[in-house]
Amino acid sequence: MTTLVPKLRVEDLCAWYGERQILDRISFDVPAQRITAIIGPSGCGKSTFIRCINRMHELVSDARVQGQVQLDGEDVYDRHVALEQLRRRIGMVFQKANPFPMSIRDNVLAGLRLTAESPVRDDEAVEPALRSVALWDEVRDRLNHRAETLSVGQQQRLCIARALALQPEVLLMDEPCGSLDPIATARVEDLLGDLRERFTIVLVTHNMQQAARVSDRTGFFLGGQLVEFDDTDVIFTQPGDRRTEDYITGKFG
Amino acid sequence: MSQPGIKGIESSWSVPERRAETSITVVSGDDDDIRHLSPYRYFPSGIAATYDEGHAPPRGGATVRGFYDGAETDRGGPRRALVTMRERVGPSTPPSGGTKLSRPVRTGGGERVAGWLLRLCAVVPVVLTLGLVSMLARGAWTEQGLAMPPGGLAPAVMGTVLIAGLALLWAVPVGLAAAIYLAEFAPATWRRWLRPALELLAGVPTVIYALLAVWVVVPALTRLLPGLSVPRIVAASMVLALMLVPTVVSLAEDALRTVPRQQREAALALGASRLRMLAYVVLPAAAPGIVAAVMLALARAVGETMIMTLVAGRLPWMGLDPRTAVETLTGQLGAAGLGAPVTGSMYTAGAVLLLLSLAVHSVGHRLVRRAGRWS
Amino acid sequence: MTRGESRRSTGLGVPPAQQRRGRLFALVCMVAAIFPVVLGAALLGAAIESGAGFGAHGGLGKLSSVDAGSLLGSALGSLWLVSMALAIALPIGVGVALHLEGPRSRMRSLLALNIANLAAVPSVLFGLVGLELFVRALRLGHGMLAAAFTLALVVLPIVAVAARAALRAVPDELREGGYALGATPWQVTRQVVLPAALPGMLSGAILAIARAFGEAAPLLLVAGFAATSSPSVSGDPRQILPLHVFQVLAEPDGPSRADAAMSVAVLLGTLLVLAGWAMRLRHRHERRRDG
Repeated sequence: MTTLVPKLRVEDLCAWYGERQILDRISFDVPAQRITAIIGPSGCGKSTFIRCINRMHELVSDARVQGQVQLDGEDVYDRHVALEQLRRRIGMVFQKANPFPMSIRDNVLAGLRLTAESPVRDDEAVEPALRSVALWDEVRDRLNHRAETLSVGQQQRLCIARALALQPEVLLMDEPCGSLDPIATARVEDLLGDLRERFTIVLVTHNMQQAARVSDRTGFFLGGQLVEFDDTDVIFTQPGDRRTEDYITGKFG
Repeated sequence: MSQPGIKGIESSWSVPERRAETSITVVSGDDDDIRHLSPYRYFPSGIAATYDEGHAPPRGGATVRGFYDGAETDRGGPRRALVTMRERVGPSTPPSGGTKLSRPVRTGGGERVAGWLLRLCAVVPVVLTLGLVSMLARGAWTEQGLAMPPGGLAPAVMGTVLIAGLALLWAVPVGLAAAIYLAEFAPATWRRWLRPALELLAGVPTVIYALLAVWVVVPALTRLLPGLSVPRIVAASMVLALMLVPTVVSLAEDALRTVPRQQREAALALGASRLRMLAYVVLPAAAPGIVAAVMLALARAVGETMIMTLVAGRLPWMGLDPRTAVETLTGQLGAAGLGAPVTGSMYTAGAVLLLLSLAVHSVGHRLVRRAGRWS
Repeated sequence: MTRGESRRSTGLGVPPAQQRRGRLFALVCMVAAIFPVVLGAALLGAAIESGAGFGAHGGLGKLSSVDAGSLLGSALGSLWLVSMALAIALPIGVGVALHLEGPRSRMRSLLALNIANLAAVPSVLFGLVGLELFVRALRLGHGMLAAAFTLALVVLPIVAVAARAALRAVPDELREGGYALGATPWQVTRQVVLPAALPGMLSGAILAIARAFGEAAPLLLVAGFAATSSPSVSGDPRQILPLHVFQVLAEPDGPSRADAAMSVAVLLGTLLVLAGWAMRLRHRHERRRDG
């Protein structure tokens, strides 16, 4: 595994829902400006894992976290961390497209409006954000239409644009193609290739082919533990662990 | 950590006579998905049809395996779970084999009698409504055309609207803030105590609220503002507000809670503070429900009788300045309790009251139903 | 400085002013939630105190002047009236709810709307109906019976709405399970749906009882304050607890303040017991449902 500058460093991360442990001592580095894929069967804790990175996990009552997640060397679980700052720097895209019930334009600007100190009026952020998700040409004539009028695939790209408009440093994606058809999935995957230059992306997916296609590094989760973490090529061609091999060859999952 | 992908759920119910026990075990399915589902969701509606040949499971029970597609998971998308259902049937099961399917089940006359009884019950509210409307119309339409109280109805309508409006002015900000606290900030234990306490406040008989106003609020106000004759409107609206707060809280809280979690998470993940999330995402989405809460509280205020009669009305001996007394619609009806004879003008006031409160209520009712569509 | 730069320069540590504002807002909201409860309790306490005057004169104070006999009479009168009203309204209300939960039809949705509207009708108007229908047309006179029927009208929509909600909360899978065993609709209703809905219905019924106990407005018209007729054999509705309280306010030479304060205390005590019961019921039911 070649050494790269780490953007995120996870150390001994454990997470619980009530008494149930979801994550068990996860440790690895997420390289900057690369796509890191997290794969594993459903229920293995991969969604919980990325929700721990931007501290969304603790929104659920009786959820608990232990361990460290460092963003550029700063522990996000430090007492002095402002959640708003953290989440502004670490954007997130959810499995199910969740645009706000407002116009397309307002959706793109929503992040800015939600976090700005002064009222946001400029629309200049709208076009680049929509362009970077290749949605601009499709919606440029109907920016004032409501976001619900878009197709699900477009809605998901709009949600990505909404996150990008804030110019985050890290982008967490929780199965962004989980509810999309193959064509919309392909478009989002194309998009990921373009975005990797500018952002550090952590992609959770249960689609192994997707991980193989787009990611640079892959981590395999099983039963709340990190079984293996390596370059994507290595994971898919010569996995070091028996369980990884069984999973990627389809013996279970 | 349990073994991934395998989860057992058992649930049973019984029909007293047949003593059928169903236990269901989900053999495979996602641990994470199952977590948020109630056991009831696991009664797979599709599976019950598996043994429809005999209309009952065979003696001694049966094991059925099938797919249950309906599981709506919190991570979106329906999932398919392989389900094994084991069914045990108790000894008193009537033999089901051998009977023809076309033969009707013997039920006796009970089935039909029950149906007619229910229909009869359902007629009662209709009769009640018709009776109410016709009575008001007939009473109001006595000898001299529309029976009007001396001075017309306008002062009473104005007085009602004034007091109700003033009460809402107190009750809505407090109620809304309280609802936001309960829905967004309150720890579970606080919520468990505060909600019933507020509901209790809504349940206090209104005649006691009237008593509060006359015995406590008015003397307190006069002591606070010496030399000033306290307008009855203020005292009446204050106790009325206390009575309305719980209504606003409970409906507004429900409205806030119907805003989907995904919307909140989207806002938070963008780095919004809770306050911004509330102001930009949650409150706009809950707005119809909140307006509905206000409308339903208004409907309650308009129909309130005891406070209107005893506090706002014309009772000169009570120590309030009689010049500040206000006519209200319900006050005119409540006057019957003060010894006034029941006249045609009471029916007219009643008819107006009915129209007013139904108009306000139906706006609120419609909004509540629209608000429910959010999720 | 452009927006992007300003964002990058900020670390994770600086809590923005927003956060303090948020905390202040949460505090204000908390006060708003607690304030009505505290105020209500304080006012009620003050009212009872000002009427009964505990401690002011040492010992029981004015309490010794309470006419215990008439208070007991009032309480029993209330109990009698509410039992009669509930005996009428409960079966009909549950029947209406059961009928509404039958197969969907235009008729049923109209009926449901009608009931929702009836629940919103100011209760004093039912007093007019009661006066016209029971007192005059049916010649029941200004007695307990007419009052009970009137009160039944008031709580009928409440019972129906609550019972319907309880029936709706019964999961469809249970019904389907019953049908799959070859039961007829009425068998499913009686043996599966009703038992499952019972806790919900019971707490609805308790709600109705609490409401009926405190309801005074419609009885003002039916009880016949203007009439001088002697009370009928079934009892005098003018003596029930809420009207007792009403009279102390309405008539200068009515019952004494201490009497009214004790009536209030009894009413509130009843309400507390009923509410506590309903809450326990709901709580237990919820726990069982959540497994």
